[in-house]
Amino acid sequence: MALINGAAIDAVAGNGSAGNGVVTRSAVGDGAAIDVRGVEKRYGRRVHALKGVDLRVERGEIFGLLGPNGAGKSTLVKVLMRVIRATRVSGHMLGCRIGDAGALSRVGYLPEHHRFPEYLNGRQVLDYFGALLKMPRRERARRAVELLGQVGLSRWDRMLVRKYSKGMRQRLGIAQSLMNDPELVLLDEPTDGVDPVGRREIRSVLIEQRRQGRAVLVNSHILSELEMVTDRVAIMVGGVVVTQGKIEDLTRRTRRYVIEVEGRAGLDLAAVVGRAAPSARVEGVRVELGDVDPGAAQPVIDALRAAGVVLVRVWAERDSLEDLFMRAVDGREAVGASGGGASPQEARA
Amino acid sequence: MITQTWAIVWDTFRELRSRRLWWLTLGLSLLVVGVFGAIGLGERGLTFLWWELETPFLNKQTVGVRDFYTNIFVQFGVAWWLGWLGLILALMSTASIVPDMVSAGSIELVLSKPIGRWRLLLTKYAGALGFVGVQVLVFAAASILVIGVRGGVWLPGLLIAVPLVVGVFSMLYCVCVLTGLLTRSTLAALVITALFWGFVSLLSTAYTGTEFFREVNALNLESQGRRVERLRAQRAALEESQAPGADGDGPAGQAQLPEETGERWDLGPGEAERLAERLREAEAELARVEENRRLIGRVEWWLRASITALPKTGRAIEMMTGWLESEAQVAQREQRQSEGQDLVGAFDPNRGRPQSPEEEAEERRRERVIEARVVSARREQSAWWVLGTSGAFNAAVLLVACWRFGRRDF
Ligand SMILES: Nc1ncnc2c1ncn2[C@@H]1O[C@H](COP(=O)(O)OP(=O)(O)OP(=O)(O)O)[C@@H](O)[C@H]1O
Ligand SMILES: [Mg+2]
Repeated sequence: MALINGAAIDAVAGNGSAGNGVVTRSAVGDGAAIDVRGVEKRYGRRVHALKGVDLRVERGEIFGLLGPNGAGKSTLVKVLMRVIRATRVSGHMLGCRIGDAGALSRVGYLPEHHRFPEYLNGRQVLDYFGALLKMPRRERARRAVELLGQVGLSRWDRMLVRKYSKGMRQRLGIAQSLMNDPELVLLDEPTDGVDPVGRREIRSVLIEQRRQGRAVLVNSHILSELEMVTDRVAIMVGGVVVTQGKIEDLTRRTRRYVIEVEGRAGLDLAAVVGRAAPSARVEGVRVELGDVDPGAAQPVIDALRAAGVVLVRVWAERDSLEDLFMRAVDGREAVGASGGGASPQEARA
Repeated sequence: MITQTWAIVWDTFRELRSRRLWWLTLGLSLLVVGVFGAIGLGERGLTFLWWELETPFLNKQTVGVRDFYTNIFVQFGVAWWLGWLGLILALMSTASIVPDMVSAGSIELVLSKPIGRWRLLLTKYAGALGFVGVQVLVFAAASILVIGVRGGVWLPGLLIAVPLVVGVFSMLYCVCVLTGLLTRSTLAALVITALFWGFVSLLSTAYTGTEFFREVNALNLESQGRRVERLRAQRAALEESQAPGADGDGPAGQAQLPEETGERWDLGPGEAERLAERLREAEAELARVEENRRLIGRVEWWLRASITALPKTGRAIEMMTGWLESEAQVAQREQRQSEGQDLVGAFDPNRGRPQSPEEEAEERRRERVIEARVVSARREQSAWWVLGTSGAFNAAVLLVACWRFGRRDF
């Protein structure tokens, strides 16, 4: 059966964990903000933009959706927001089936390259989209003032959007996506064109969302930024998710100790290190140990010290998100675990 | 529900209001109203502001003030301004509403809100109609006011122009919405709508043309038929007179011929052949006219079918002027008829030939007959037919637009 009926899933899950209806409800209805499987989208005959995407975003987390241009990130988000119709989709968003209007009033969305009506000012834009979200007038007015302050547009709230700069439009877009105080926000490249100060502000807005237990899905190319805030990421390439999970989990295999020494003529670093740790790699003045146990590094340090080598720095390292991304894109290799089963002892320093 | 609908309608209005064209249209409207105010009817003739033009045929003695103003409103305000220029301006200012809405970057914002696509599109459509209605209302109300103040007659009946003009506008606007949706381009939507309008007008003109052709041809058919009969009778008479045993002298033979034929002839040598020749000609002509009748019938059928399927903007405007006029009982019939006669004249193959007074009288009679027949044929297509079929077209186009909009990926 290609398309799993939402009610059917509820029923199956309810039967599965007999005796604990509350947990079941929260597992299916409230547990995950987004839980979709096998999302497929074809544009016409030729373009197969999504080829069966599985994605799960929990409440209270910031989820990063990465991928090269044309990977299908925006397409996926649009499917969730009912802007385009998926060829095939099953699963839930905030407990409603994908395509139902029911969830939409509780979701915020910032499309990429969005354009607001040019004849409105910032405040009117928020009011208009708030009204489309069925918010009462009073609340719209209150929320608009609050959000314009949060994104730093209070000074320009009466200026026509036509005269806004790119970054100001983007900030207004963020405010718009938060207008209905959503339980889930989908942001398609939110920091596009925003200055560093603005980016930091946006990051703090996202963190504040998470603090309130809301879910955020960010779709961005600025990996260093995502790395700072996201709890979990998924990397999409060519319409499929090749990697999904916590950044720590995904990069755990790449953790290593690095010892940097002072270069000296006639020093055979490889020979010195090789005796203590045969698996170590030597690159110029760097020694990399493929082990994360500090104890395992001590013999190497001893050996180096015994040989009279001057140590400059010793530190633990792991691949950055960028490295992970590059590897995922290059070989489409599945790095680490997918499915988001993060081990709890891995807390980030 | 109401919040959303109101938001969309209000947004549509703000969009229109932000256009220079919207204000230009309003300004021109008021200018036209101003002209109404400037023109008046004095004791001795037309007045324009404070000048009075002496027009013996047009003054308070010859025409009622009420008729005069209604007439001006209909001839200039409705037929010329609302039904033509104003309609074009309205189309130009509203054409971009749908392409703007579905433009990349805007449509995502709206579609991701909890509102149905059909509702979205129909609300936008209705909003555009509503604000065109506001424009017309302003125009009509201002006209009534100005005419009332200046001419001392109050003509609230002119307000009927509001729903009618909006109706005519909606016939074109639905095409504009559909094309705007499909092409996502305001310019393409406008051009296609204009072409469509032109095409519909052309069909309507062609249909009127064939109506006249049909009647001219029908009269031809009758007279040719009579001619053939007459010639046959003559031939029969001739054969009889020449038959053995009959009186041989000519005048007696001529006396037996039907009197009313009007055709003179002499029974001379070879007369029988000439008669036969003329009969053949007449029969060939009859066959040709008959063939024409069938051809015209086919063309007319196709034209009528397509006109039935398409909106009838021209007819609706005509109807509107008719209603407004009949309300004030303006004697417009003569003028219409003279126009009709010109049209008949244009199709007359004998036009321009020197004619005897009798022939001319006969010509007049023919024209009157044709005119009467065409007018009666038109009456058969009642107001409900015009509005109903146009409305059906509207609904069908909107349905296609909604269906497309509902399924389309953005
Ligand atoms: N409306 C459309 N019609 C046809 N093909 C489309 C359409 N929209 C997107 N595509 C195709 O679908 C694929 C995925 O596009 P999508 O916009 O989802 O990529 P993306 O991951 O968001 O890329 P980017 O990082 O550049 O924003 C691309 O190959 C694109 O060409
Ligand atoms: Mg994208």
